[in-house]
Amino acid sequence: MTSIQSELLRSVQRLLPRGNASASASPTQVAGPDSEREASRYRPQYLTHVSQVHTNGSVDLAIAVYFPRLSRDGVGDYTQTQDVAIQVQVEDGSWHFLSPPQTDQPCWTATLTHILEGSALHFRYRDAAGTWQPFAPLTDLESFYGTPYVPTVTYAWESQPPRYDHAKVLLETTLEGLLAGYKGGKFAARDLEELLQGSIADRILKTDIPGQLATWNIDEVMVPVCASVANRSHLDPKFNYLTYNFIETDWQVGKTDAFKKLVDRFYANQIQLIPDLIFAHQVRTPFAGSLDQIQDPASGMPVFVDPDPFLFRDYGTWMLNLAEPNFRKLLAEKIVTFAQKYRLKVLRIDYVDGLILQYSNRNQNYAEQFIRELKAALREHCPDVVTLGETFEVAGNPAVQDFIDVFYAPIGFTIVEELYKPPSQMERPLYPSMEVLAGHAHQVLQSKRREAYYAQLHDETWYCQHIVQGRPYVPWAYGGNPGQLAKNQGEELVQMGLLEPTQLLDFVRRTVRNAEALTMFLANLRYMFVPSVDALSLGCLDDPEQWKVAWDGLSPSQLATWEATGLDTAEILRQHQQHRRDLVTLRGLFRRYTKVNESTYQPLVKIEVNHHDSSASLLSLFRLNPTQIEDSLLVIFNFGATVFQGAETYEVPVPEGFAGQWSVLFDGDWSHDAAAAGSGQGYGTETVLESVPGLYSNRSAVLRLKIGARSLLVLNYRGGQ
Amino acid sequence: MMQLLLGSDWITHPSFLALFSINSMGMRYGMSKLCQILIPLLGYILIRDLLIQGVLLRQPAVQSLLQRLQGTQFFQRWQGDLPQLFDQALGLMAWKIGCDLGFFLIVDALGPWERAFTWSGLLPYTLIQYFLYYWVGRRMLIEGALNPFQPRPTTPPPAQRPTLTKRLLSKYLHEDVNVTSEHIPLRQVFLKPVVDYGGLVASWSFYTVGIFYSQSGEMTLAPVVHFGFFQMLTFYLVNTYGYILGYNLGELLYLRLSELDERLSQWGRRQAQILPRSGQDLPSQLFWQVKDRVDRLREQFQTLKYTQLQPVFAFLDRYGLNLRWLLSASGGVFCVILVAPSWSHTMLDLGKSADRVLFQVAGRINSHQVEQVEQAIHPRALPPSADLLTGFPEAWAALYQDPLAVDSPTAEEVALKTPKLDDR
Repeated sequence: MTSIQSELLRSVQRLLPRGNASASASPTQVAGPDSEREASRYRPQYLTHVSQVHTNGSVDLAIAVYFPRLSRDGVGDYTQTQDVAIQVQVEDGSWHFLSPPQTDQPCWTATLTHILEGSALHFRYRDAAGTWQPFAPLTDLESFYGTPYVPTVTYAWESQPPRYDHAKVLLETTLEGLLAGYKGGKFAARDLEELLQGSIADRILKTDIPGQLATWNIDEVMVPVCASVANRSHLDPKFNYLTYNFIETDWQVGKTDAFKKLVDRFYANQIQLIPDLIFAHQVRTPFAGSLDQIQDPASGMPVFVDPDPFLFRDYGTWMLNLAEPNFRKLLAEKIVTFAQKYRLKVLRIDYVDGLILQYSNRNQNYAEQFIRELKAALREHCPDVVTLGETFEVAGNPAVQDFIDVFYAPIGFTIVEELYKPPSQMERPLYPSMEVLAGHAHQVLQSKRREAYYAQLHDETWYCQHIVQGRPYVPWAYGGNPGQLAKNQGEELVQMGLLEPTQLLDFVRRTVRNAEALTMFLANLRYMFVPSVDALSLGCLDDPEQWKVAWDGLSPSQLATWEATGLDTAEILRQHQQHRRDLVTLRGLFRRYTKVNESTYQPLVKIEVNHHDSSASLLSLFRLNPTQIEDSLLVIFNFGATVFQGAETYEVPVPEGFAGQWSVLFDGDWSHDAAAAGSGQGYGTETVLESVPGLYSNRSAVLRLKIGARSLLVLNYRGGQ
Repeated sequence: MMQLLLGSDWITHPSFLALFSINSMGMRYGMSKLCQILIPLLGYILIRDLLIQGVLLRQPAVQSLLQRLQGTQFFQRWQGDLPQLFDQALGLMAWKIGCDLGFFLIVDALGPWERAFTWSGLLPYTLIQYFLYYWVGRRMLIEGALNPFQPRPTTPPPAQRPTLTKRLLSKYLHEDVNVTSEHIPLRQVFLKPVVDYGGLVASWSFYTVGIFYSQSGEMTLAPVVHFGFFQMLTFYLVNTYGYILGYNLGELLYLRLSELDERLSQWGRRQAQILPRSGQDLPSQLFWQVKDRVDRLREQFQTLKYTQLQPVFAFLDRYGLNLRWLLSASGGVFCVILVAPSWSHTMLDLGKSADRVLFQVAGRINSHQVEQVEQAIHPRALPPSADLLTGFPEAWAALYQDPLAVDSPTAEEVALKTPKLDDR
């Protein structure tokens, strides 16, 4: 943390005699193993980077700035250097001229030696009028808005990235949201200035957040970390996508060493931190000297900006001119160095559709060219990095298919559309259509792609015009938190007299649980969700305070809403706590029983729809693990309102060859407290059920099950008789 | 000094203890600071939120009046600014009440505590604070707005990270609304004490003028001319910088306690993974017993928090009343109590020394003052006490004679006549 105390210590160290900045190349004493590792790292050609680390903590910098003149066709030409000059300055020292590009070196270059960590660099270029203008080139350092700083590069990593031996549960959220909601926000910054005292990474490192997330049965946390104009102390989540400096950690998120520590801490808790890389578009003029303001000295045209934007860009953003090959290399280097520096193993690539479609009406699609080059660079320099791509429209594009390792698969959309459908539009208001759900499940399970399944992510839990345009016929299925969507449906049932107001909360939690559980148990590689699933949050993500992750309990407004239905506060709290426990348990089962081949990253579990019953709205999935039969699961969902209990049990057919004993891993109707009080329903964990010949169905082996309305059972195969 | 600090018994050294002693002066300063925190807070809670928003604005008559007013251009023009104007005026007024109340509750010899609530004092004080302190001092001098009535311009993002020196100066030399921050512009850090002091001198002296006028009908500028400038400077400096020191220490304590809590949580989780629940060894049994109890307690607290105590927590959240506030604010007040005696003593000594030096350099005394001093330097013998005793019955009787009687002396004459000083 950059507290005054630690800063004081660092300042005292700085007072000790050291070398001075000079623009010469004189590699001297180098540091120990850390710096050797640093030295063996990938060296970017287009980015200013640390070339040497000395034992006293000072570094040598290889300055590289790519700043071409524009040729007649508007594409950069670095060989034209007349009328151009670029200078660099360390702190308030003297300005150094950069050497112009050579035939084998397209960048302006210089070497600065013995620069202290934490020193600020300033760049400027001379315009046509001979006036020096500020310039903030992309670097492999760290930056505070437009000012690059020399990072602390030596860091002794303590933990290894988690293994990929089971399917992953991915939580999509924000680091600032996690921090602001944690223990009443007592570790969070109260304003933007406080983030200068201690960044979000520094603050999270003081907490037990990574450990607590691990107890939620989460393997991956996907967060936007790129420098953006968002104020992360009072977040408007949409501002997180107004990024600048392309792929660079936001100063609010943390300096290089703090973010490394954070990744390391997550690794210690077996959690992969996945950065949401937003580079398809950038916010205009975030500070003086930003790339979009840099003009060609002769023509006055923007040097870095794509001149022919075709698609509508959110909030007037701009994109890098990918027609210029060196810009593509520059951006690829930025991504590769980012992944390497922080030892990241999964990268989320934002808005691939926009990137590709932007160039779809030109002779050559330069975005396709870029992602091919980027993929080649990733394969060469960090082959174990997995790209998780947000792409829908261009998912079939061959370049995209090669680039993306794991595709976003919103298979839960159909589930949500059916399960949260307004009762007035349903054939039977209390019974969702199994034809739709089973048909969809069949279709989903045919996919051969590596996919990450989800029902709702951030775009679906707020008002997003793209979602509205894309799904205009199902307005009930997005634009709100899952709890809110289910509540909307339940309220209509109350109005129709089909549900008691006091049952509304129970209806909501069961509906959300079923929607998320079905999405999850259809997945065999990765399941993604948002924190509002567990919290049963109402409203939508862009409502006030909703950006803060609700770690426990419920908000006063939630309490007031449910009290209005006639429930007492204790019951409201109990149901929310039960809901959280259920989802944590279900995710734990998913992780435990969904194995993945660690070397090939291929799923080891085969999923099929075992049974569906349209009249009762019941569906079961069989999750077979051929290599470890005893890890096979049967997941039975009752989506309807019929309660099967007592003498009226439901006969679920057992998959062929799996007659015998099945033990209960989870019953949505089981409550430990209720069981202790002697009023419990459902099966306790580890209850063993025996398959029997069907009484009502013509099956040789069925399981006679008690199962509540809108509930689910997870059974584990224990072997034959 | 270094020896004193480094030695093992430096804490018990008299010089060190002299820095921190509690006496009535410390209590006076501390109470004043405490009331400066609590009274504005109570003012907002009771007057703004409870009385005005909770009761008055809900009255049908007030509602209809507001609806009628909303049709007027004047109201529409000021409607947006009114809440802020009201908050500022209430804040200034409540701050002054708190400052006075805390002071006079302890120093009842200098005035009754009711003095804190006199309109004749409050109104001039608030008006002067509002116009002189807020508009001229804060907006024009500190913020540099030539036209203070224009809205504040949007500031571009800072170009560089703030330096350590700037952060230190900001955190340890500046306090505003009872909180400290590392990110105050240096212009404000250095100008605010000047503006604060100027505002205090102007408003306190003129409000004393107001009190005199309301009590006696006499308009006199004597309280302004003879204002205790140096005493006020001492009061301001001790109160402000003592509070800053304690506030920052209290905040540090809070942050360290929070970190400790997190470490315990991490440790507990790790132990839970290492020690088997069914373990028969003592560490396992002890750990799980304690953990289960703590978990149960935590669960009970969570239940209470989200059910019965929800309104209480909502109230505390609304006003930012949490453990951090408690530790930092009480740290500030406690520090003022501790340091006020020594700091103010040093300041006042310094003032006296400065007075002496000033007198030696530029002091002038007239003949009457010389005569008075002479009397002190060369004492003259008093008349014999026997004269006074024998003459007393006559002087006493003369004192009560009819003043209208021609021959009877006035009281002054009696006093002047008897006894007489020996001219020797």
